[in-house]
Amino acid sequence: MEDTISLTMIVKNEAGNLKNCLDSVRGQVDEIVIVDTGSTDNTPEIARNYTDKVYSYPWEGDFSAARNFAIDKANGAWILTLDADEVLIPGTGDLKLLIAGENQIEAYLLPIDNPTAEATGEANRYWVLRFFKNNGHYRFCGKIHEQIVVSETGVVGIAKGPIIKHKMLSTRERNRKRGRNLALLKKACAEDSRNYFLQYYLGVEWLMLGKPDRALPFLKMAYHNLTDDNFIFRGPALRYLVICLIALGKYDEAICLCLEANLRYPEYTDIYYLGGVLFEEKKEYRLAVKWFNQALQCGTPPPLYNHMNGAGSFLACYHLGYCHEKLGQMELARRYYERALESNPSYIYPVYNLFGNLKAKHGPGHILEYFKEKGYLKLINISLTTAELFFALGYPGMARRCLEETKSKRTEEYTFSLGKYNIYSGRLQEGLEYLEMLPCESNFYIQACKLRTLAMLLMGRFKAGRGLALKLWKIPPARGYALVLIKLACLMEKGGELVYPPKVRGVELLDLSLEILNQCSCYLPDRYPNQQKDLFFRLFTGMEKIIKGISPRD
Amino acid sequence: MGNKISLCMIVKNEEKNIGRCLKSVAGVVDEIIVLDTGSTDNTCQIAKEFGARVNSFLWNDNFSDARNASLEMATGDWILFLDADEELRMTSRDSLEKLLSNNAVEGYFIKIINYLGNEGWVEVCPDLVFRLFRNKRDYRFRGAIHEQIADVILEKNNQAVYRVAEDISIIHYGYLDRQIKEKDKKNRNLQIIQKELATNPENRLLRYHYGVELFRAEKYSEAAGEFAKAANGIDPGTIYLPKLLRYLVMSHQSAGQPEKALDVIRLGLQLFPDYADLYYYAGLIYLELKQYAKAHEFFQKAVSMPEQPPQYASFGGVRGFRSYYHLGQIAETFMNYEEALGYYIASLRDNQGFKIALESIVRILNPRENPDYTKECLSKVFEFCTPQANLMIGEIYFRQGAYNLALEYLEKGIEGGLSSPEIQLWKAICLIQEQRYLEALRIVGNYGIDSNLYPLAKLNELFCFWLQGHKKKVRAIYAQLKALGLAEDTEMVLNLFVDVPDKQKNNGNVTIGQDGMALLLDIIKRLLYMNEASKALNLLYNVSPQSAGEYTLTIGRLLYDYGYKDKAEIFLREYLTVKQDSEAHFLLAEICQEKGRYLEAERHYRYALEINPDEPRYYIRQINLYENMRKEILQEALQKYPDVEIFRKLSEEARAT
Repeated sequence: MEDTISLTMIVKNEAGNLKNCLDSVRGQVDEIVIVDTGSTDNTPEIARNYTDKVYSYPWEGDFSAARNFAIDKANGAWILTLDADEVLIPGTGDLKLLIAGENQIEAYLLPIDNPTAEATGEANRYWVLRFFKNNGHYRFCGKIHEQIVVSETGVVGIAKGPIIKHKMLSTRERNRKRGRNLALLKKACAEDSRNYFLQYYLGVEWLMLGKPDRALPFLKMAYHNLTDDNFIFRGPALRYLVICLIALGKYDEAICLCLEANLRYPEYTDIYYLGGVLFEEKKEYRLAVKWFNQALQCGTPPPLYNHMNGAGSFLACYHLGYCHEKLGQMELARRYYERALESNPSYIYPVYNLFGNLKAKHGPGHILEYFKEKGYLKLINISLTTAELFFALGYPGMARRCLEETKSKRTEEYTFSLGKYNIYSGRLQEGLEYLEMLPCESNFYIQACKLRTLAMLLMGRFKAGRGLALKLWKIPPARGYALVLIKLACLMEKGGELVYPPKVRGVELLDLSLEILNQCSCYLPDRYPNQQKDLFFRLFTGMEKIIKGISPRD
Repeated sequence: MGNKISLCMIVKNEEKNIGRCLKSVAGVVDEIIVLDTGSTDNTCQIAKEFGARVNSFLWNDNFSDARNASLEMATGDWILFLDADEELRMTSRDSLEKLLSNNAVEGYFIKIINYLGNEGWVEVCPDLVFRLFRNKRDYRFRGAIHEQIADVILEKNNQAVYRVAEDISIIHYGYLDRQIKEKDKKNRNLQIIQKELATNPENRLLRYHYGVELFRAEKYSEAAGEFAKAANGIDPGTIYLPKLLRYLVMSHQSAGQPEKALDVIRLGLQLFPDYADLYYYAGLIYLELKQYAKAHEFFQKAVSMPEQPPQYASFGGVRGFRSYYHLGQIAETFMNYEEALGYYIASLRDNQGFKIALESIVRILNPRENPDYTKECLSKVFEFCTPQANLMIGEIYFRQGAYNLALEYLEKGIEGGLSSPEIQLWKAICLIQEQRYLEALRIVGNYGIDSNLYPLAKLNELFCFWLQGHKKKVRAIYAQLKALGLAEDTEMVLNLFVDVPDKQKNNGNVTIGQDGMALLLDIIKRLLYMNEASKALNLLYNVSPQSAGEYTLTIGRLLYDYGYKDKAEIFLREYLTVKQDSEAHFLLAEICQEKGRYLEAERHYRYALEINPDEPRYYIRQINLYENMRKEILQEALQKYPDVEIFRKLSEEARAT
């Protein structure tokens, strides 16, 4: 039984997450032990689908006690602990292989990624001791931020995988957890003032709650007192300390810290990155460039370094682009923005800068061709962002052409945008077809109906337009729009003056009307001359009439 | 130590220049040594007449050998070097004595003023050269080309001290007719220098000269490379460093590397923050890159720089007329005509011969539409008192199509005695434009068949008769011209005059090539001036669509310029069915705006900008459009709700802008 693995977990009200977690360990563990500390949802039922070993445990404000209880119930030779909102990323490693040969290692540090922004691939990487021999030597300590303490040297190994991924919490959940943690941490710190791990955690909580001034003393204590033996804590303490100083505007102190840290940890990418950020804040762009370049050269730091994903690649490139721009080196800036995009196409911010950079040099048409050539437009998020930029500048035709280049899976947002840009660039029929594809439940339904009505009015199909507007009337949030559009249809068809029904106050419709008018001014049909010219002018003047009809006294 | 001066020269075929040179040193130098490397003209004779010792030297492609040979023969205590196309200027012999008596100094740099002939005016470019030094045995020139002695002396005598000579200068006329001799000299020089550089790769000065030769041979990338190498690690106190930097900037710019040029400028300004040329070139580059704000900033800096020390070799006009001119251009681009005028006037004040500035001033004043206003404005700033001046302004008016003003000034010039067949013909054209046909005919009839202006004169004669409706005379002159032998294109154009009666005949079957169309457009322009739009268009309708098609835009623009907005609109719209063009959209937008069709105007501005987003005019006019629309809406609002406070406030604000 030397190589059996037990997963031990403590859970409370994790019905939404538990399934994902347990699915992800299939094939990696032989036994699952779940300790429920008082769920009021059906967490225990879900757990029972995976294992018989589901226990209740009364919550006493002590995480370690609960976890140790779970360990006691485990029979495997090794223990893996996870939280319900974590998963093992498939294909990043095999626990069994890890323990196959080596006899000396008793515990492993595993990498864990904590995403900070789901869409862009930004995440922080830490190292945590979650995998250890079940021989009674290793127990959790500490009521909060409980840890396995290993006193022997040379028995802890560093595993490159499997990688644990923490789920990104919603803001509400995160704040709730923080609130809970803060109270517990304060208490624990008061009881044990020499526990620098707790100081670290408390500092981090304050920082995340947006109170860097309160975080500072704790982080300082932690950093200065923790040693390299506890590098998995010292590293993050250092990083957070720098970030804290930046948040407080203490740039010079932060720079000193970075310089000092750099000497000690010359491979620590994030220090170079943060140093670059500091110099950038101080507007010393040449120095910033030097530091960011170092970060790029380092790339991903070796294991155990708490690392912000991108600090050695796309984030550094992005900042390099910005600094070079400030130095007037537009060509170089452009290349760095492109590198950032190519390293991580999900991180779309460089698109904005690249767009601006190219636009300053050439016209918008060139940007389109350029992005096409580089293949950027094949990716839906870049394509949508670029299209938005073109539209904001007043070039709906180019926005449309951007989206037409996308090959990846079509989403609702994509369909809506394509429909919208088609209409604004004068291709009314095609635009209608796209917009009609959106179902009633879609987030974009109301906007789509609005646009469809306008399109029909532009085609002279007044009856159909009115019909659609009436449909909109049935949806309470869209009632205002519906009214305006019906009025517009009447004006366009028959001309004449405006009469408001006595019950409706004009002022409510003012914002909506202005919005519609604004949108209309973006209209720029592709081909000149075009057929709908008169209709468009009628529409525009119709909207003007409506707006003018609202008395300023209302 | 005595103070005898020996003038040493090496010459070849300089009979036109050497007299002037030797005259300038008469009574100043004590002996003249002239080494002739193979003259076939009177150079040696003239030199002898001035008392020179003339010897022959067999030219071996090595300037130093020749110069050193002349040094061997010198017996004075001091050596002065001049070239035959130079002239010595000094306030008095005493100042020279003072220099020679200074025992501490080993050699002197003298200010040299290079005259460059360019585009109708002479420019001035100062520099410093090492030409006066003590005559010692080991002071000998080195280098096959761009021969140097200053550093040789320093090597032989590391205590040597140099000064800049006060009150003395050399005028160099050589560049004025250089263009012709340049071509073969360039290649020869390149080869010589390449050879030398191969054996002396460490010599920065030599590399600098190599870069200069490459630059003159228009090999700009290579030149930039050499200059950069020469500059890399150079002592910042090196006397030719400013010039080196400037050449580096110019090389990068000419090689199409504006960003690199700007990098060098930034560096250069750190070393020489008062170097006007660097600011000037930055301005030019930013202008090319259409970064107008930066360009403006740098040109302003250039004009604010103090007088430049001679080693900067600052190009004439950089602190004055050139920068002002470009500042005027920028202002004009942004439709700030008052400001532009100010700058052009400043430019002209700095260099009265800078015709381009005057042309720009006239163009802004629009003499064709506002002749009295133009005259009045110009008279406030300038006086055209000489016949030459009158002729010059007359010609400018003529080229800008302001025929009645042109006539006035051309006549003044003629009265002042400056007549020529060409000027008379211009006068005749002006007379035709002013419909004084009889007087015009009197002039154009005077051109003999052998005059090179005969065809043009005859053409105008034909035009005259055609305008008056004398069909028979028209046919007669046509026959005369045909007998001369016309180009096919010209013949097709003239056909239009002969075959087209006053009745409208829109056949559209005449094909005309490029040259012919240019001629026809010129005639159309003249007809539009005379308010004969229908005559002009009738001529046009006979031309086939293939020939006339690409000129639709030009004609549309002409019609717009001459005030035929409705007709212009037709042409512009037609053009747009064939090609999307930003100017066409812009002109249409202007027409729509003037007519109050604001939505249409807005649409056209947006199209124009979509095609060409680099044109400030389009943005400015679009902004004007929105301001007008706003004013109208406010007016409407005030009418409807006269007692609402905010409308009144906004209206006043709008009126203030």
